[in-house]
Amino acid sequence: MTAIAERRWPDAFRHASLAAGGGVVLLVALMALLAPLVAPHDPFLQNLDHRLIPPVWEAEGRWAHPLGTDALGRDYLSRLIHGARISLLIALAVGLLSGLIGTGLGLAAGYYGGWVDTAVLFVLTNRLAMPGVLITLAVVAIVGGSLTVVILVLGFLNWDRFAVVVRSAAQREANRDYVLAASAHGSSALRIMLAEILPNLVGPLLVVLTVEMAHAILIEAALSFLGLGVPPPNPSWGLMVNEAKDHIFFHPWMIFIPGIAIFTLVLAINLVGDGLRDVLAPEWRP
Amino acid sequence: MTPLLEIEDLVCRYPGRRGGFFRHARPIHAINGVSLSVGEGEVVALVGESGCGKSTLARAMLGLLKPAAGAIRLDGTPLAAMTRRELARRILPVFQDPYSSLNPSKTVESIVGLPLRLNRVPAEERRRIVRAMLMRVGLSERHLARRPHQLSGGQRQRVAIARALIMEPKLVVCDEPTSSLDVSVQAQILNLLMQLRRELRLSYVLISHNLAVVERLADRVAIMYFGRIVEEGPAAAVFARPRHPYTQALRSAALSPDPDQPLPSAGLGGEVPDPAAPPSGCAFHPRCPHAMDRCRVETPDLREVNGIAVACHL
Repeated sequence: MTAIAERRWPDAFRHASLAAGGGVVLLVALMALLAPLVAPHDPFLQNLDHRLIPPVWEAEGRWAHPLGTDALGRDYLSRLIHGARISLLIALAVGLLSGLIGTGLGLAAGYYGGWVDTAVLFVLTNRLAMPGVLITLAVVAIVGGSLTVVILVLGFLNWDRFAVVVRSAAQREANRDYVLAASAHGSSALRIMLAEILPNLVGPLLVVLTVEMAHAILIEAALSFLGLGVPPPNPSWGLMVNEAKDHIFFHPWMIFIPGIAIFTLVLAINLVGDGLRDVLAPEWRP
Repeated sequence: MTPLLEIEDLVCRYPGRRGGFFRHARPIHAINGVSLSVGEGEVVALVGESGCGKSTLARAMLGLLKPAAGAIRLDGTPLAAMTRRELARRILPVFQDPYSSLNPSKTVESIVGLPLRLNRVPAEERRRIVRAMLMRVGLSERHLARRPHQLSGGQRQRVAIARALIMEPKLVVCDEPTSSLDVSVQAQILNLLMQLRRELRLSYVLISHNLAVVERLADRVAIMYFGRIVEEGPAAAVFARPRHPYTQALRSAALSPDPDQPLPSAGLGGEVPDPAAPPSGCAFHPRCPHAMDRCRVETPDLREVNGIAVACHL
């Protein structure tokens, strides 16, 4: 179990799925970062004269709106580009929040063992017994939907995989002599967990992080589609699919475009995760 | 003169495996009333089969394990009264397997410098001390930025030794320091340990399976069996004329480097008893060639004869 060994980085570029997935993720991230510069129009600007213009590859398409406009005359490409911001923001924030919770619990459980482990496993079992979607629905119904609520709810619900993976890896590491040596030299338990054990868990953590990020994007899209996620008029991809469902028979492209965007980004993130798994720790397979 | 390290009637227990949900776990006595002392500059060897409590004793000395009874005193102060950091300045370990005792994600510099960092030595001075210590154990500045997987087994063990010595402790506990190394490297590491002992006036507790190593290096030797010391005394005297049947068996089981000698006889039949169900009387009696009725009933005490202490009814 080596962490990021230097000599492995060149392999990362030769790994096909990692390169492809990483390329797409990077492209989407750039688009999201530079959204105001890249987007041809204001994503909120309604133009009722230009409603439901189809994309350029259809007969009535025009280059002013390459991906057409929606039912309120808003430029579809601009909304798609700005929507990438929301998806990526959710992915990062949820990944970070759930990663912190899961890693913390997993480290403590794996390192201390005993009753700490039992307590963490108890919390974990309870968490796994909770129906995630129902809880999200309930919270949104009580508090109301917003980006912050979605991030907090998903962040506090999706830490289970982090906890499981980190726990078992930390258990293995905690039995090695370097942990004993550090403690014989007077390291505190906290220092041992964070400075000695954690660096050796980077590989599995990165892999779980990608899985959870892809997962968060999908759930946000699903929630927004149900009208329980990011409230309109924000340009979320899930919300775009939701708003397009009235037009599914006459303007199916309205659903295809954000749908393909979600699919591509999630696929790309998963490819990155698969690639990282091969490159970082060939021996670590779930 | 008070010895550097003094162990008195030490008892260490591990919680045993629970038989069932309601049945209470019966603790396993890993160490059962061990007394031992290490003088300044002395090398004391602990010898015994796997599972006899050597490593548990080492952990207790390092303060990594809380003894159930008895006392360990360092320079007259009980370990229990010292903080972790105080203890870590005086008594430190070198582990058996340098592949496991060095963190794979750290550089040599940060591994060796860790004890200094924990004691808040400023970065510049730290660098200087780490360099000097690497030279001392036979490594060079080139190795500072390396990670353990870029080093050979012998180099790793040198790093582990450097880490143990960097705080200039008085006592180093070496748990089988050479048994995971190639034979050709073992001698180098042992020579290094002895050279450092002279230079830094160290004491060692040397845990080893290798009787030849023990005979060469140790001033005194303690033979352990099943959580007790069965024979203890000056190394030369103990090996010249082992008294306890277990020591005799160990001695005769050692391989001789002379190829004309036949393979040693297995000596002892049977296995180490199950610690969860210890035998009555002398723990060695089921395997002892000279076992008498008395051995099955009465646990022998350590008795000193001519400077050698033996726990046997014979």
